[in-house]
Amino acid sequence: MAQVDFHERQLTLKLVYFGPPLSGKTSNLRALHARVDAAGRGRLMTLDTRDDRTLFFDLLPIFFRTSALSFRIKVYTVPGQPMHEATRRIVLQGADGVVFVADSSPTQAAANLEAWDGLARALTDLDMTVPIVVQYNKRDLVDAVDLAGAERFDDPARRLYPAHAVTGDGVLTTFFGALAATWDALDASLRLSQRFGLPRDAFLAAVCAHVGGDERDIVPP
Amino acid sequence: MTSRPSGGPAHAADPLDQPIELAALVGADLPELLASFAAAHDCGLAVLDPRGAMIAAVGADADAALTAPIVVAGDPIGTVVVDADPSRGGLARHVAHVIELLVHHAQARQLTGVVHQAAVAHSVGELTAKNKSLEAAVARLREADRAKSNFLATMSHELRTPLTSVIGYSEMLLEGLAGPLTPDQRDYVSTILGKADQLLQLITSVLDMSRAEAATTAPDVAPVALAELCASVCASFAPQADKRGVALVQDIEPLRALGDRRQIRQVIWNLVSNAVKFAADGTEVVIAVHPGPLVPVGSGTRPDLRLGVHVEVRDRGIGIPREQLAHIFEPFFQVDSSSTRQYGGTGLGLALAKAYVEAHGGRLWVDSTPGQGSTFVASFPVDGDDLAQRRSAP
Repeated sequence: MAQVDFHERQLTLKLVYFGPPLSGKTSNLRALHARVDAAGRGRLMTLDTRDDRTLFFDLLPIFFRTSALSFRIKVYTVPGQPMHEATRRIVLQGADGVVFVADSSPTQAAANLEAWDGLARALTDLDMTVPIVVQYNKRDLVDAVDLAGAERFDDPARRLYPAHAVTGDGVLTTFFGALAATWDALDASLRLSQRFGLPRDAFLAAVCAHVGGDERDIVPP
Repeated sequence: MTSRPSGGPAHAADPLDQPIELAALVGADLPELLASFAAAHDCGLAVLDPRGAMIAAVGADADAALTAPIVVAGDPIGTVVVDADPSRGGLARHVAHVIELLVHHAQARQLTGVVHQAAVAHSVGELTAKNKSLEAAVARLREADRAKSNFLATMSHELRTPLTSVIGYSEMLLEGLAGPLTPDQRDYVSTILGKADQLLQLITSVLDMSRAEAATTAPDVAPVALAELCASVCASFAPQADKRGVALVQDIEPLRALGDRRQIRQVIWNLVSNAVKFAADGTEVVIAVHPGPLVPVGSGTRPDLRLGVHVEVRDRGIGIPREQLAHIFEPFFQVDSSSTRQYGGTGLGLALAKAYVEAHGGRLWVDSTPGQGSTFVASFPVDGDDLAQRRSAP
């Protein structure tokens, strides 16, 4: 759950990139980190676990003059290797939104499903309900699965975000999609728009400016 | 879009959201760092926490003080103060930058520690749960096994009671207590008596086996003279052996085992019975007693250097195929069905012998070559006095 300090008028969001091994979680995070001007983000932190790693960084506080509210966004990846379940759980704790990075290779369909089941199990065990957006990464593969018929993970109406994270394509679109879903979920419980007079679109536009993005990358869910 | 509608109560806090405290993370390294800067730049330096309290200082005597904030992820976590002339304004910023890097790496170490600790706790939890379920399974199996043995013991006992009447009345018929019998009748009743005896033996073995498995017969330990036991067993089998020209050869050192006389006798009885049964006509069965390790080296258990006494029974018979060796001590196992017919037996003798030997802390093993014969060795604890005498003897 987002940490809200109403006294300091500061809100911290935690976004976690989850997915099977080698699906491109780290590439997403690196692309995002590289995209943001050094003045707008913290250093990329690497926590080495055996045979895998957890990466994260903080976006520096984004200040909203109109509502005198500041936001900070923490972005994490989890290690994808099956043996790191405990680490995945600890990283997932306190998350406000999850980006599920699926692999577009047809040979990875089973790995995608296995990771999704792991995510669902971890969230159940942690007693968490968070919005999840699904990205299909590696769209450059010649045999990439057709998105129209791709697995939608328990939700036939789910929107799928295509990406090619190594080049940065689709990384921001996914990020904003996840932020929008996270905002909606938090707004429902914390009434953010009403309390601070800050509508979702203004929030997304401000984050977009902060990370040096193009507003066309914002595709509301 | 959102697969899980949010809005529930606050869930678990973020364990990776650790406070970044300058003093706690790198406080111990600061004096050395500041000293090296102070020496290189000939100035005094200090590091303050956000409230202005001194964390570390080297010769800081600020007349012309330059300051720079130490900032990590957008948050000021301290201040560097340098007493140098204002023309060296970049120095404070430079020191602050080095400290920021130190903090970054210290924080990574701290969080890696948190992650590892959680992973270990998780593994321990999983292993503990697995151990518990295994323990429960073992307890259930033990209980089931005990119930089975109890059932066998009860059943065998109940079967024996009516059989005693069958045998008793058959004997009375044979003795003519109900009047004289025709030769045919005598023949039939003898067969009934013979088969009833065989059945009684089988039931007795089952009863002994189930008692041994239920561990209700703890050995009654006392010194047992093996020479006397072997002689008595050989005497019992002499008529049967003579009929087939099998010689019973005893090669006995005068040693006493420490154990239960009845059980040790049963072990020797079963081994000699097998040897005589499977020995080729006109060959020897050797019964030997000599000292040896209680638990043979390489038997899969931890080394046990205690000395024991070996009872060895060798025959020159059909032997046992290698692939069957592992099974011959299992209850009701027969090397093959035809041998059951040819040689008879319950398939309990070796299993019972093994149970009795192991109840004494010894081992029962076999060495066999098909077509050449088998050597069975049972080890028992030996009476220490006998060994001492034996050692002191020239």
